[in-house]
Amino acid sequence: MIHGLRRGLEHSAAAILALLLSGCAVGGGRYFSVARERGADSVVIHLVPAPHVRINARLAPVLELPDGRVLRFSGTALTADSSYFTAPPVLAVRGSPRGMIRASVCPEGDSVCRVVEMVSGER
Amino acid sequence: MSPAFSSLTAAVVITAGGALALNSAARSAALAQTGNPLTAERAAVRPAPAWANTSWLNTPDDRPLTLSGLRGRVILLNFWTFTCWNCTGAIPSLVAFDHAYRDQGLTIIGMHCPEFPPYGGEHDRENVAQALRKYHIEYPNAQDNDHATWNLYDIEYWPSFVLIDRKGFIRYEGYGEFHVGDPTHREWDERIRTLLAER
Repeated sequence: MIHGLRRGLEHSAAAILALLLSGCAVGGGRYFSVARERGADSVVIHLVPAPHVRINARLAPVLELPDGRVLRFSGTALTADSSYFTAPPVLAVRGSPRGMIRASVCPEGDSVCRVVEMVSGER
Repeated sequence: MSPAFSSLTAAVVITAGGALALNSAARSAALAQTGNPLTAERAAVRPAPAWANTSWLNTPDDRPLTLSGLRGRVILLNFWTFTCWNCTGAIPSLVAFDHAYRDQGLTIIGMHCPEFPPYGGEHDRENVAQALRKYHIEYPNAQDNDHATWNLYDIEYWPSFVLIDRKGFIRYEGYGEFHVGDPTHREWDERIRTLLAER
């Protein structure tokens, strides 16, 4: 029994470590992180920009699904010139949110834009 | 009530049109340290590689322009896309350069390089043409939908600029938005005039 408890703790520790590592991968993203909110029949994905990073609203972020479908993020909170999102854009996905997130980001002060891709998982 | 968020498993991959430049880390570091895109430019003078774009706008009969055909002129390449605000923000400067220096030997070429795959609409020629009208762009533009010229010139960011002298050598490179009258605009203006004065 003690042996089983020990094994269980080891598994839990490994799971926590994996969780932390995956969390670092997301939170450590230089340009944005991803959070999700599970609803009754869908998952709402939030694209949260890092400080001083602006997400291009003119070319809204997308989630490319493995079956070829492309779903666009949206948001109503924009800068006065409609150029950037001022609140995290969101996307409601029915079914699995697995796929490739692609976003155009323009860090403040850099005066340049670049494309960031993020492989989103199932959890 | 605040929603309960949980993280998605993710791995971040930074891309710039699929291009991975050898010196990207150095340039990014310089950009991050100084905040001035022009300080991160490459200084080495080297022959400009010949582009082979086939879809052109704002040229006579939409015929392609070639590097060899422009020998004797100063060329300013602008890598941009109409979905990029930093890119369109710099266009008034380019239009001003075009008006001021075209007759003196400057050819500005917009290399339109999409950020997203074709579903984003940037690959569509009519959308590019519409953007040229919207921003009063009269100088030639090429569609670089496959990023061939982007990769050829080792470009990483939108917008980027490459200034080529009359003999076909790259003399200045830089990236980042600038505006008419600001220090960066004046710096590019000075560079253009310097190259135009060379014979």
